[in-house]
Amino acid sequence: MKASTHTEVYRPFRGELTTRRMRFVPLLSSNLKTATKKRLPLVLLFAPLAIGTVIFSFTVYAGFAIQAGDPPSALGGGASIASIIGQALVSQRTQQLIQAREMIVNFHLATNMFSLLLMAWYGAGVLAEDRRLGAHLLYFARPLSRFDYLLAKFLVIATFGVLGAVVPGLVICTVATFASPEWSFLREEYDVIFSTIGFGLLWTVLVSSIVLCVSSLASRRSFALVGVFAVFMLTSATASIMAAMQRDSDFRALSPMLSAVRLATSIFELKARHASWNLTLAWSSVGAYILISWTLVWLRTRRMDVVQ
Amino acid sequence: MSTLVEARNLGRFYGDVVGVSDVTVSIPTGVVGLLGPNGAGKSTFLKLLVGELRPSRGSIQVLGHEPFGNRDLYERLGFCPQQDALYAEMTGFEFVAFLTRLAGYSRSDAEVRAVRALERVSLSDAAHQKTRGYSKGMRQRVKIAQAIAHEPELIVLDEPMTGLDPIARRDVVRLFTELAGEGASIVLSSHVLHEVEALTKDIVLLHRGRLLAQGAVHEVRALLSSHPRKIEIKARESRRLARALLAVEGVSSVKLSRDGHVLLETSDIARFERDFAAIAVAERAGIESYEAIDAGLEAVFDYLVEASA
Repeated sequence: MKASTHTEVYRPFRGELTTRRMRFVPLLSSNLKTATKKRLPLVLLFAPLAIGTVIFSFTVYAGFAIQAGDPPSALGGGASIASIIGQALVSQRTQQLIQAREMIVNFHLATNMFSLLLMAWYGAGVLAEDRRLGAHLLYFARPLSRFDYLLAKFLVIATFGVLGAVVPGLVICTVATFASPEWSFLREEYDVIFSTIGFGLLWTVLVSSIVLCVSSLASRRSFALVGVFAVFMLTSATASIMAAMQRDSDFRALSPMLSAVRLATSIFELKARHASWNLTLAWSSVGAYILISWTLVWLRTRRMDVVQ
Repeated sequence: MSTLVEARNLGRFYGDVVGVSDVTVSIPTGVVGLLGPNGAGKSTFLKLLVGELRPSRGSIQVLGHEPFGNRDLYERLGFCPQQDALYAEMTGFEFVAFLTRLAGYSRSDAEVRAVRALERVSLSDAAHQKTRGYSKGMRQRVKIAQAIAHEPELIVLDEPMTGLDPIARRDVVRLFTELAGEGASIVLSSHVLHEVEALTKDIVLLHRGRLLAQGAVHEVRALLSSHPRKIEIKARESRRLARALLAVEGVSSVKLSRDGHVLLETSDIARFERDFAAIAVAERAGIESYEAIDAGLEAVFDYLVEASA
């Protein structure tokens, strides 16, 4: 076959390409930018976390301030009646709230659902929508490996996870650090900061992996969103029912969420009612969920090339 | 550099479904049309070509390299898939710039190239609108823009003119011609034959996953000896001309249409063309037009598909 149009002309590639290897970065930044373009979900999803962070931060601050004999002006300050009432109200809880460690754990447990919602909302479509739109065809025709592609997609979800599960805890720790008399929080409870980061990252990795997996299995974002909540709700319900029926708390390991709660009590060294079952099993459960999720994601991504 | 794509016994199967099977083809630099009805295996062939699919059998070489997983090669390719592939929340500019960055350019370079590419597809005015508001034609053009923004050596386009209105279609054909003139090679698929005919005479014809024909359209047509060539002649003295043409060897039928056109079929076009001029002069027929009505891509396509059915 002869191309009669322009066989004499040939354009060799003369562009200048960057040699860096982190090809996932443009995909990550672009996906994050696109995800945050809609303001309303952003406000609605972050608002509970922000409010919770402010309330817990204030409570920690108030606890330390009262302990130091300097009640915050928001509670009335000085010797006014309001101040006395405020101090009375706060002092009832002082014994409980002064335990910043417990508060931070409680905060994590209370906000788990919100950070899950955040990750699910922003992560449900990362693979499902690419598959539906055929956008992966554009990516895989670029010098972008499947690993880069998956890493970028995972980090999109994980970014929201860190914002929802790590940053608020760190804000409270920071408040506790500055509010505690003579840096007592930092000197005596510094491990809480590491535990906050550790548990936050663990929760982020666990949820992000499951969200990514469900997204790779679903054909639409809405299906993936429902799927994520189905995974967490159904496994938790099943685990609780099995544990109650069999009178064996180890069945809680069936649920990634209950396993994470168990790990939280261990990481923060708390003695709680959640902590009565096998820790190794909880670690195994979380590990298994992450491993299975990634295996499925990898298999499904290999099959993304199949004609839709 | 003369050969762009070299496929040898290329096959790709999806379980029991045949994508392409036993395709051996050599595509030179230039503009080549990949033709076939829906489900012929065009998209599969193009995905094999850009390295998105691994061949189940045989081999394919693009620009001298195996494409599957070859990221160095991807930098030299531009691909416009058939699927929509656009994020609704992105603007056309963001979309093209982002994909150009993925090709390996810095942010500033990518943005400059995105602007240039959008200009070339006449989408500058809508560049900063979200793609959710784009018409089908605009979406198609923004996909073409991302395929050409990094100035690849080989541009692979899967049904690039789907959804374009006639004016946009004309502009896109002009753009492809310009790109080809600049030295880029283009492989484009289509099932709309006249689109391809407007761009190139070189075709690869697939049907049911198999290679049906390859080469220049007139060469392929010449190989179809089982189908007589149809010719339409408009002449002042059409009746006299028709009578004279009946005597030419190889002419199997001559008809006169109501509007006075002579429609004839011949199995030996070379001989007919040789004799025709002499007869026309001798009969003083007053020839006004002469057209081989089934030498076009459409007719070739129909004959080949019919023959393979």
